[in-house]
Amino acid sequence: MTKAHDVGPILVPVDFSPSSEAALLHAVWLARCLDSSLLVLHVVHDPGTMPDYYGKVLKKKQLMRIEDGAAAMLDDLIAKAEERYPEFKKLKNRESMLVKGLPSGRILEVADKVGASMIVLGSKGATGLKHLLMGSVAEQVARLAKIPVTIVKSAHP
Amino acid sequence: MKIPAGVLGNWPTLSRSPVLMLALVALIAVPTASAWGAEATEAGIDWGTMAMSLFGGLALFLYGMDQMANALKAVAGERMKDILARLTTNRFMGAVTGAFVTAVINSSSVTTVLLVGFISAGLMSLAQSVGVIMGANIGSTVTAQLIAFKVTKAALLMIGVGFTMLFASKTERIQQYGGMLMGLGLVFFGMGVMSDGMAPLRSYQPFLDVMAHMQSPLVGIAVAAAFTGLIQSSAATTGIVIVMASQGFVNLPTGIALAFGANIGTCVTALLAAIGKPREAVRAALVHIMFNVAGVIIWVAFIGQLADFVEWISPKHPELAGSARLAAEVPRQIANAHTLFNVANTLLFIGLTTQFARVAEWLIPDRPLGEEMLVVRAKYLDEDLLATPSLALDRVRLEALHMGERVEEMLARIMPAILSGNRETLREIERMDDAVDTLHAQVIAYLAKISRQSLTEAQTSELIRLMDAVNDLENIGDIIETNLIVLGNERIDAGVSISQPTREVLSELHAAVTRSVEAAVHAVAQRNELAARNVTSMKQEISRIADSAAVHQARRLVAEEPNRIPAYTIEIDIIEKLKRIYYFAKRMAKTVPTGDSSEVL
Repeated sequence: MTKAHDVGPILVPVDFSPSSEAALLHAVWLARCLDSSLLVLHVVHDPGTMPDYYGKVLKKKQLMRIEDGAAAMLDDLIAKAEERYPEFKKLKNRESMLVKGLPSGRILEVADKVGASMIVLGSKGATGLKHLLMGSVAEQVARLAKIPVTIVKSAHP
Repeated sequence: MKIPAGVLGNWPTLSRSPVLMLALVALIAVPTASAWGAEATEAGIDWGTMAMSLFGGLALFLYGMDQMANALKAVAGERMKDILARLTTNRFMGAVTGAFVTAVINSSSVTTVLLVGFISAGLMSLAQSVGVIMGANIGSTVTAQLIAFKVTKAALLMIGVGFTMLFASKTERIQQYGGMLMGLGLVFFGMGVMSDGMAPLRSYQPFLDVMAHMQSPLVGIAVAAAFTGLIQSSAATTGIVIVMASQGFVNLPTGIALAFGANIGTCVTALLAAIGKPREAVRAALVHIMFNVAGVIIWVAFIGQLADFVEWISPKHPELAGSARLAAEVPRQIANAHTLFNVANTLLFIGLTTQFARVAEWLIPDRPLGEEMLVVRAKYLDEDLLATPSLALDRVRLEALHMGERVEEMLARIMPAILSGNRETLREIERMDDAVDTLHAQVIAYLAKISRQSLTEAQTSELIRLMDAVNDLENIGDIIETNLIVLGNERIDAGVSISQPTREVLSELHAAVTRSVEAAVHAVAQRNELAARNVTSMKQEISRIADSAAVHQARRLVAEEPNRIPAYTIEIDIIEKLKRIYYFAKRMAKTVPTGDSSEVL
């Protein structure tokens, strides 16, 4: 992992939702301010929380492994972000990573493994019964992480 | 997308003889032994004949089921597999597909084993599979519906026609349909034999007392679950329940409880299939259990109401009376209750698939983050560089190095694993080849994109050379993944331990071959002619070590040791495969342009 000023990368876990795009944008801004590197992470999880999650990609190419579908979506997200936000493209030290597993646990493990300086992630802000039943990945990460966590809620920072 | 052979080739079958025998003995022993103990002198019952009828009838019944399932798999299996993999994009489609596929191939066990395979291969998610599992429960009740027709009279006709089709036809398809018909005939014939054999028990009080105990739903559920788990077929259990019902031994509520038990027992198959599989697959088996058990818990209090409702919807035979009427009505009622119960549960729970999945995730957490959890992707294949082919080709070389590092790691780990590793280590190495295959596919796709640019002649030949080199590298990975892993497993199967002198000889050859692969990867990645020449010049060294290893093996062949012959075969095969790996390393090295032919790109 490339480290600028010996500070670990900013870890941005994304789940392809508008709020995670907002988080990515916010993290780019932070990385530029702090001259830090950026690691975009997607956890290829069993999409139990949302059936049809990778459906878009997987339907087109049938009999495709879920992780390959997720990889295609991550590449797509980064390509679109580069197109939309020139400052993201200017960022030299940026990498992306795909890991299999359950999101919150994996995010914390990766943060630990790469020595991340902070985690920036989006939250849809589920409320009511859904929140009670599902909790939220962002909340779990914020509660358990040993490093600063920024939760980005709005799609328009 | 390549589906690993092991994933789909793993059809379950009833022909697991020890389990089956145990089940048969258990089934026969329970009623007969208790009856023996009670009052063997009761007049009018020929126990020997009855035991024979029950045992023989059950054997015919189970054999018929197996025969029918095998024929159905042969006729429709491939197609069903395809349907299952493709049409399960959401839980509702999953349920419909699961029901259809299970009904067609006549076994929910096959469906769940297929599912576990798909999940292990990363083709299907847990959430998708939950719907299919629910559907499979519905599909498996179709067999019971079929059995409830009790066309016992037509059984011999079916067997006769099926047999003729099977043995007189030269067309494979007709033979398969013949096998299916004969299987179905045997199922009905076996039922008839069991039914006739049981008939004297109708008036035998001790047996009726034993059956009365079954009227407690929990006992019925436990017995049916254990029996189904043992013979691994819920359809067989419901079939037997229907036979008993047709003799008037089982009333509707008891029959329903027994069918509930069959639903629980059938989970054993999924659980067995998930052993040693990735966490997602184990979670799917767990969801299957949770779903089936939860369904039973909810309904167990409403068996009476379910029975009333089923009696109301099922055909009635008011012209008959007493046990004859029960015998005519109850089998269909049990089959209907079984179907109804599974449909209702699916409707009830399909909205809760997420919660089931969550509980399974909570009960079976992830393994700690390891290398195998990182999804390997090409590091260097930058699309922006495609417009500049020379830079893009440089990137391919870097990626070949990346791929080479993975192959080198596989190669480094395989030798100790073959000589003394366990199956888990071998499986880990096998999985590493997935990453090599992924990188290979990405490099080839990237090279194809480069080839669409306008290239100079030198660039075109460089592109072809690189393509050859990565193909060779992938071949090395495949030799390790298929041949060498198999040898490691054979060594474990045969219980062979490799002697110290042989280890030294094999390790020497392995070290030389590893060096050649490292040099070849280095040569390709850096267009390093010297490294390439090193690889080709190792030919004599490798041949010498391989020859002396073969001589060593031949000498040891005469040694007085246990397992000498299997050990010899495995060791000679290892030498051959290592030579083959060197052959590909040499081919890779030859793709590096030599001084006189190297062009400026």
